[in-house]
Amino acid sequence: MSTELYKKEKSVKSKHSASLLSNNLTVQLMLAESSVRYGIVHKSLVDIVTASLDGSMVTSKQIYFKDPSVPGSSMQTVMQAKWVTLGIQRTLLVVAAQKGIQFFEPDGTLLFWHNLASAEDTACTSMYARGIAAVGSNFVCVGTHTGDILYFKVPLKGKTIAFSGKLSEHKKGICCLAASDNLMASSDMDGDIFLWKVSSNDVFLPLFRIPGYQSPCSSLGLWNECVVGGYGSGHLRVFCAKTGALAAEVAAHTRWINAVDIAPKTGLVLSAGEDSFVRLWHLSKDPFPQISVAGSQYHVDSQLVGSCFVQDEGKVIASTAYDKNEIMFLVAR
Amino acid sequence: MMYILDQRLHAQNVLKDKTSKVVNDIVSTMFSKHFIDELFRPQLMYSKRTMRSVFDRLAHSSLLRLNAASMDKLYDLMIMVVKQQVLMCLRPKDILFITLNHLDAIMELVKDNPSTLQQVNYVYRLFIKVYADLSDGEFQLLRQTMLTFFQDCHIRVTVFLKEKVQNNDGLFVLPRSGVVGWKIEIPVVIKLFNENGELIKTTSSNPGGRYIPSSKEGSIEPKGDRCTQLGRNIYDDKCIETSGGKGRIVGHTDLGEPSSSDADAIAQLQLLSCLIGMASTSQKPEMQLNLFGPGLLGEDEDNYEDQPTPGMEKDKSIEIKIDASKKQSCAELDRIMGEMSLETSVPSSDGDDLLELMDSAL
Repeated sequence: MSTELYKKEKSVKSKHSASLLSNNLTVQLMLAESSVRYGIVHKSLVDIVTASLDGSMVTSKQIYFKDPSVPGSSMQTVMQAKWVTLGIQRTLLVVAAQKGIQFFEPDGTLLFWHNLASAEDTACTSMYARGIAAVGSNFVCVGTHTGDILYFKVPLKGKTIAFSGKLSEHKKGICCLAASDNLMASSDMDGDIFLWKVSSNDVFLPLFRIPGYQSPCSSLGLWNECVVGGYGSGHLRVFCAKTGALAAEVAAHTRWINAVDIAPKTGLVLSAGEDSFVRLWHLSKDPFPQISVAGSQYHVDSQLVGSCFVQDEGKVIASTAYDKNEIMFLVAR
Repeated sequence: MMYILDQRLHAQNVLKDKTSKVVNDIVSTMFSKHFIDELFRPQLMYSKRTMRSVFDRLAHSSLLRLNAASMDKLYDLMIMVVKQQVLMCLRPKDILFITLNHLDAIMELVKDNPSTLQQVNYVYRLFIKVYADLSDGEFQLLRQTMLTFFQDCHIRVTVFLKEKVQNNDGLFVLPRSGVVGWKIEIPVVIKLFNENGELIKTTSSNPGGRYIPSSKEGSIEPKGDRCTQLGRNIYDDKCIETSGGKGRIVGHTDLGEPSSSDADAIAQLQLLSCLIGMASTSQKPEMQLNLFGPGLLGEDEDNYEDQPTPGMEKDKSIEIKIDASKKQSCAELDRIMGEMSLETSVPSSDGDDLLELMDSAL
């Protein structure tokens, strides 16, 4: 098993350090501009770093999370930020925070917001929004602390984003959402996973529930009828997306897993955790899902909080670590 | 904080009676019912300013007086040590056992004072009741919140640098080997199943580190085995100090928070009001403790009586400059703090000599 598949490349500096959160890196490749946009959560802001493909040009911008309906309100801790693409051309940054959700244009213009708390709710109840995914061609889903998944209808053009409803199957707070076309997987604090399908008439149908393993499923990947879950216990599990059956269980990390990603063109899977390892796996389904080791890389003294493939083949991996203001890279040899 | 104060009091040969009175006074304030009830009320994380004010107040709740520089260092040290504990825990639930280690040590400190011991026992039971049954996910949320508070604090601590727990950039060294958390399997083991749920193949490969499985889970029983060293007194028989190479402190705790709002200010005042009037008044005889006086900088505690050779001393000594006056101020808080007359000025010339200070105080 080669651990030399990837080599480290020069990192890109970010203005702010990454917070300790799961899925704390979002990547959007912009081929037309020959650049990549990254989003990293730092306390109550999202650091947007735009870098040219060769890493020579780097610009950054910050988006602060405040309740726009209350002038002078204090900033809220952000839980997750994610670039979502609807249809083929509409890209938005969706930011989920302690008490609300906001949608931004790529230039940082606030388009829409949704508050979790009503004015009567006390300030001290523990609440959050976490887990973001674009499903089908016009829905963005965001999970919440109650286990509800809120879905918003987003037009391919214009500003008329609307809260459309909620899905209430989970019994515990949502950790992560992942989607592929019309299919969505959602995971919660008990480790339960649900699979959903958006029908042609815009209805979300729950397909089945995959019971948890007494540890939160902190990160999810969905690809080619396979669901890959990364757990707080350091395990990876692969399930068949048609039936929910367990196909593989992997003791993968010695600490909390914070990121799982799948390269859509190759089925290469990455997992990254607080144990400083980015591990790579081959995923196949012939006829039932299987997984095997593809390599690993160790980022010294880095509690990894985010890790993503930068492009569809999985040749470039970007990662972030708690308390560090840099995006670290691994590039296929 | 108690570990540091207790260690410094002992290191400086303060009379046993006096030491236990100081320790007892601080602990009984820290564990007073009023204050604890306020602490356990569900609420947002305190701002850095509030946290600092609370510890200023607590550290001065006995006849012990710390000058501004000592208080800064005490606070910075405390922040970094707790950050290290919360960061390094093998799994989120370890923060429970870390806190129990703290409580165990506090009980040991006040074991000769039944009423204070009872206060600490009450908090121990309250803590178990509130926190022991949280899920892993909830512990991780707590841990994430705490680590947001500690984020970007990169103050270097000499004992951590020496023991290679911390790097020169202030970040902590993460081990690539050793015991893993309870119920965590040693990687890499892949189990493949077929459609009928039958195990068809198990393969294992090198994890890239020498890991050892954990043999048992920590206990929440009184005096139980917490199964972690984190949260125990790492200062025993060691000299500790914060150091800020190149003559400047690295990333001194920044108290200015842009997000401070009215709600924050109210919460701060509420918390502080719980501490007002609990401490010994300034009429009583006071005792100055210069935790890390300029004359002692960079010296090993072990070498304190045995003066090190000048060359060695130079290698080890790193100057610290903390300018307390530059901090952003919150007028309301400052007023309150002023009313509580927290800080007593220390004569700067004689004040540099720790022994003299201690002599005049005792």
